[in-house]
Amino acid sequence: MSVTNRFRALFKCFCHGIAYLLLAASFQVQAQNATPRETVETTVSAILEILRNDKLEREEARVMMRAEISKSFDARAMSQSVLSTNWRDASKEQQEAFQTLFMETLENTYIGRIEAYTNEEVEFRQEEINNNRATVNSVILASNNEIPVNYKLRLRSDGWFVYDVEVENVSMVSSYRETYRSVVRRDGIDGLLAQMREKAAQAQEQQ
Amino acid sequence: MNNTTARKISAFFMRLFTLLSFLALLFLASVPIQAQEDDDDFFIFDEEEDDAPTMADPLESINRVSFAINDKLYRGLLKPIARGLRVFPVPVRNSAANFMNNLGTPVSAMNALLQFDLPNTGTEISRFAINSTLGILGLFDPASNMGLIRDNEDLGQTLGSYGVGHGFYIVIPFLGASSLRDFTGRLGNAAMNPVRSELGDDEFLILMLLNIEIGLSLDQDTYESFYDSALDPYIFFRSAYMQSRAGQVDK
Repeated sequence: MSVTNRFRALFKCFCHGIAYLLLAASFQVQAQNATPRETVETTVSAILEILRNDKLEREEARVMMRAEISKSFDARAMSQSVLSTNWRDASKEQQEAFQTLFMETLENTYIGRIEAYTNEEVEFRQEEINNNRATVNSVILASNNEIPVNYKLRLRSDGWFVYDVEVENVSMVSSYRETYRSVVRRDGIDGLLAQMREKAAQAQEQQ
Repeated sequence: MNNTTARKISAFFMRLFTLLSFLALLFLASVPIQAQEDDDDFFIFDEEEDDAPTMADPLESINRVSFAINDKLYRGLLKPIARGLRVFPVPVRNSAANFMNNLGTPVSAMNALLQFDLPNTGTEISRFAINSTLGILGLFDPASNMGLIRDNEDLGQTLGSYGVGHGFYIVIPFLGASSLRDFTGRLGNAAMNPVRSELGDDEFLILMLLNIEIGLSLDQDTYESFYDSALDPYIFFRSAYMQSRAGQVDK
């Protein structure tokens, strides 16, 4: 083997390395390039697919849908936004407990709503991007009317994440915020957490 | 330096390159995951998010009683009737709903005009003309397929578009959530409805009830799902009512 051959082999290897780097870089770019609309569309279609799969047990399907939601919903931002000024007064443990309980509530409600309209078409319409915020408009084509569902997203360094869902102009985050605020005013944050736990237990029983 | 040593050295470099590029791949792939904790307290200081207008509710204690009555009424009477209506296939109920919507279109058109919303006035008038004829007295909704989408306007929204505030929140027994403005609008709406003067009050009331029941029979337990998930359903629905009305007025 001549020296030039060896260099050629070395060069080839170097090229491979560059190719790997490019590949890795393109993956990263791709992950960040998912538009707000694509992000929402991927999640909603994944959830609908799980719901339409008759082979799955109900519990199994719920676990899979939760996983889909956690991929594109910003649990922390939502929890902060819902608890609003009370978030600052809450201890780290209270914040974490709230986040878990709230996401459970939201998942149950949101999944329940999608479940109710499993057989209807969902149509994605325009997206509106304003700096690091975006709104994606979709409609559920129910038998007699269109139900507008808007998703609000924010841009993090790792992509777009949903922080609110509006159904017929009614924002989930705002409605829960007002409810929780009045509960905190009356019973404090620990009182709120206790009531949320109770509610979660009730929901578990009903299933 | 003999040939074997050179080969060994170059082989070593090749492996090193491969290893390094793999490491680089892993590193780059993990970058997005590491960056998740950034701008942690983004939302707390977002005062704009927190400034959602709230509605005055001086009658809260009375309203809560009405809300409880309406809940019982809904679960015990309205919902069972709606379930009974489900013996009729969906297309039949859709046609019934279309028929009622069509009867309401003239009032909606008048309100669009009162709001100086000429495009929507035109849409509503065309919808009425098309659906009453081609749509066989409004049983079908061919206008929607032509791109004339229904956007129902009422007097409460008209007042809202003039800048009239809600006043305060009221829950009316049997009728549900409203506000001083919207309830006034409701009365005005009924007064200006040609269908009511044509049919008479009692028949009009029955028609309205039937409309509600058909709507409920087509709905998928929206009320129950939110009622059951809310810690204080009264406040949840008050907030939802206000947001939904604000959205309709803004349109």
